Amino acid sequence: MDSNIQRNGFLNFLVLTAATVVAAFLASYTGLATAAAGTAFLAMGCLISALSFFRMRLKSRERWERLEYDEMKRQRQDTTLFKDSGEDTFQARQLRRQFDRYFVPLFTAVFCLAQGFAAYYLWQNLPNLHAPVREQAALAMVAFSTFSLVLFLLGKYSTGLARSPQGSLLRPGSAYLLLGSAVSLLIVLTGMAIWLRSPGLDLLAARILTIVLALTAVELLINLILEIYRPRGGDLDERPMYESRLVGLLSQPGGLVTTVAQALDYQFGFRVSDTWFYKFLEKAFAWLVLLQLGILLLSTSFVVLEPGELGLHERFGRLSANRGVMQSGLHFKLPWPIDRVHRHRANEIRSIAVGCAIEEHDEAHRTVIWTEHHADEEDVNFLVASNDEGDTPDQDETVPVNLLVASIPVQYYVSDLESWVYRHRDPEKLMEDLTYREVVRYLVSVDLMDIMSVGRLHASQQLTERIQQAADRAGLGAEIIFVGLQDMHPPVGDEQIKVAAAFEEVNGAMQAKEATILLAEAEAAETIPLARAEAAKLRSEAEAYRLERVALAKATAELYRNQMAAWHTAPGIVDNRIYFSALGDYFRDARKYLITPENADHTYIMNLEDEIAYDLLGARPEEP
Amino acid sequence: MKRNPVSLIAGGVLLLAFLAILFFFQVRQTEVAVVTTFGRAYASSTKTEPGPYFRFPWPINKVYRFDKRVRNFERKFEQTVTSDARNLLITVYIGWSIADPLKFLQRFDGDVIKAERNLENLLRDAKNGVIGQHKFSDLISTEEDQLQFEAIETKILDAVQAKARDNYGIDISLVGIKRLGLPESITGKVFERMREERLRLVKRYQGEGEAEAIRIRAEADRERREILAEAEAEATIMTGQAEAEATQYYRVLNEDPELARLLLRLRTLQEATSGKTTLILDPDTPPFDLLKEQSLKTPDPSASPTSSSAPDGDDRP
Repeated sequence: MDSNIQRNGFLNFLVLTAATVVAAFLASYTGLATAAAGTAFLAMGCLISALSFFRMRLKSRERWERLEYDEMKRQRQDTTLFKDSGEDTFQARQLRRQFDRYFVPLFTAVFCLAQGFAAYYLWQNLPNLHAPVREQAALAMVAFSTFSLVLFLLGKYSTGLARSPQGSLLRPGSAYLLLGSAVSLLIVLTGMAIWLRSPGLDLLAARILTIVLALTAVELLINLILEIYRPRGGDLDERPMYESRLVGLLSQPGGLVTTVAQALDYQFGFRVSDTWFYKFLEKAFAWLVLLQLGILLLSTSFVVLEPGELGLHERFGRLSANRGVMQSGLHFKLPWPIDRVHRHRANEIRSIAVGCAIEEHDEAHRTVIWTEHHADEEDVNFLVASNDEGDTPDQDETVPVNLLVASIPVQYYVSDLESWVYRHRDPEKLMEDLTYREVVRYLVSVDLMDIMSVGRLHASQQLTERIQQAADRAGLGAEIIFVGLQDMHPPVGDEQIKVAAAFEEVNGAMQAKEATILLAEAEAAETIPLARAEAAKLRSEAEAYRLERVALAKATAELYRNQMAAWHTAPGIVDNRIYFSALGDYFRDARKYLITPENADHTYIMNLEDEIAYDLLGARPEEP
Repeated sequence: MKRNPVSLIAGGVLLLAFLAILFFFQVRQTEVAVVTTFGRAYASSTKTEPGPYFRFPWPINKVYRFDKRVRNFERKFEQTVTSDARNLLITVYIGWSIADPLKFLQRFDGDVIKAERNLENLLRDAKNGVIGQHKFSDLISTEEDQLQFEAIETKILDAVQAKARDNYGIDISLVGIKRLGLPESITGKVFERMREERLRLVKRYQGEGEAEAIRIRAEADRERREILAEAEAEATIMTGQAEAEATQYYRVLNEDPELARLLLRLRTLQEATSGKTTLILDPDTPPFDLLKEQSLKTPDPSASPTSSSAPDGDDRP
């Protein structure tokens, strides 16, 4: 029995070593991240099984030593003078004790560090592995499924031996065998996922394995610390410090099920595990899993295409002749991997933004103006031809082109799905390239001001036609439905040269020109009526003068006639009457001064009611 | 020993699946494959038609699959120079596909990145060579006849197509110029030119506005002066007519000129003394001569008072 256990321990070591070497090669060859992480587990199992085997050897030697001592003691029949305690003679036991006391903790510490380092290294480098291809994944699936089977059988056998009192040292190694089997199965599953073109699962599974590896390292570290303070009992520990409970749980999940069942029994107050339903689940679990797999396979026998979706039906990779393109609805097919249907949202509108693209939800640019940057990729300036080539004084130095910032959204849909999918690996990228090419081609042949103003609508039509023709020539199977010329303006410029602002200045100058003309027209509009009014005034005054002049002349003539008659009747009287009457009338209100320097004794009559202007005669009156 | 049938079935299914994976492979509609036997490829090794194919497991047979669809490959935005020494930046894209899978496998070990790296060199050489043969105006001009855009693309395609097929097993089906640009220093110059061009227009519009305003004002002034001149002429004529008509009435004054003069002088006197008038009179002036205790004498009508505001003799009303 003892030798059988040792042989098994050695076999465990050999198998795990071989599995580790082959797994490392396969991980390197296939690039499977799960295989890399699995290799770390197998290597850890290899170390554990080596240590277990070595301890088993020491234990065996100790046992043989004890038997020899007992046999020798029995032959002597206690005739010696002094009884020997035997401590000095049990060298194998001493060696084993020394080994357990010093080497095992040291090994556990190193093992713990190795696991931690492996976990850290894997976490850092797993994403850098080269992407596995399907062929290599298939090879890994075959190899690791073999590992899984071999490790499982050997692990189960070792677990059985480990239940015997002499085989307890086999337990850590057998746990790693079973865990290696489970990990190999996981690698097979991830390989299958890659084969089914779902490579993301590989990295996810590898990450999970790395976390388990790190947790195992932490568990062993805790075991190591607790071991320092644990009181020493018998010679051999029931559970060595390098044995992981987590590994044991993962390698034999049946124990977990039993624990769960016991917890349910405790919670419900009766033995749930004795109910028929629980027993049925326990018995039929494998069948149920198989049934699930069958249903999964059957579910690949039909496909439902949603509105807007089209499907490409392939049989053994070849497009079906009679039902190549499937419309939306329910369709039946042979199960995977014979038939496959690839879904495509062919009818939906796809968009390309050529040039700068204004974000619809960009709150910072609610108002779009030329003089401020307002879109991504605005530095993408299109070259536009210039009609002003000859006008520049330094035309040898200056490039006869203009620059234009443009946003040209193009909308299209897939009109021929077969061409769209089968002719080009990246049809959307090609569509973008063709659209850019046609836009560039068109803009290099038009003038800046034309494309920004009168030529805009024509340009939109032209571009639609040209992009459609280019797509047809390339066999894209796309239908262009809209090409818009938006946000077409001169570049903003830089700090020193404000180009867009200069264009705005032209508009400002045009407005200023109109304003100047309107002001002049307003002045003219004021001047002419005023002149007309002034002319009318002149005419009116002349007319009034004429009327007045004629009337006065007429009146004077009439007066004269009448006075002349009186004159001839009483000459000398009439003229005096006229004279004095007039004098009285005319001088009534006038201020009058009579000056008689010759006769001082004459009486003067002066009206002094009003103050005499002192400067009338150039003399100031005397002060009283 | 009791055997679990479920385990047997599951094992059988798994075995069949693994055998199928090991001994068969599919070539999709979009793929071509090369099957090597112990690393050696034969004429029949290339599988271009889609469908299932038999193979021996690795390491006897090894299957290399390639996507046979047209791939896009885009060069960097690279500076080059035209035959008239104009610098420009240009991006060229190509569409390529695997024409000879076996040659592609031999040349690049099936590595698309390696292939594109080699294509890049080929394309770069062809692009710079062709652009260097053309003037800048062959690429950018408002004269459609002058443009050589398509010709340049065709020349680049011709330059790379044969080499790629013969040497790489690659078919280049399309070449296009995706972007054209100018180096930053020249872009600054273009900016400057565009601005000056606009400022020239600004000045022009300003000048046009001023000129038009001056013209409008001059026209208005001319019209004003014309209107006023016509009015003044009419007024002058009217004044003349008034004088003429008044003269008709004044003829009657010739019947007794002495009385007429008296009346006219009195009227003038009246007009001259209207308002505030200060008279400085000689006491001999009738009727103030009464103040000199003289008997009433017949005043001399010819003696006129002296006024500080002497009338100007105008007989106008």
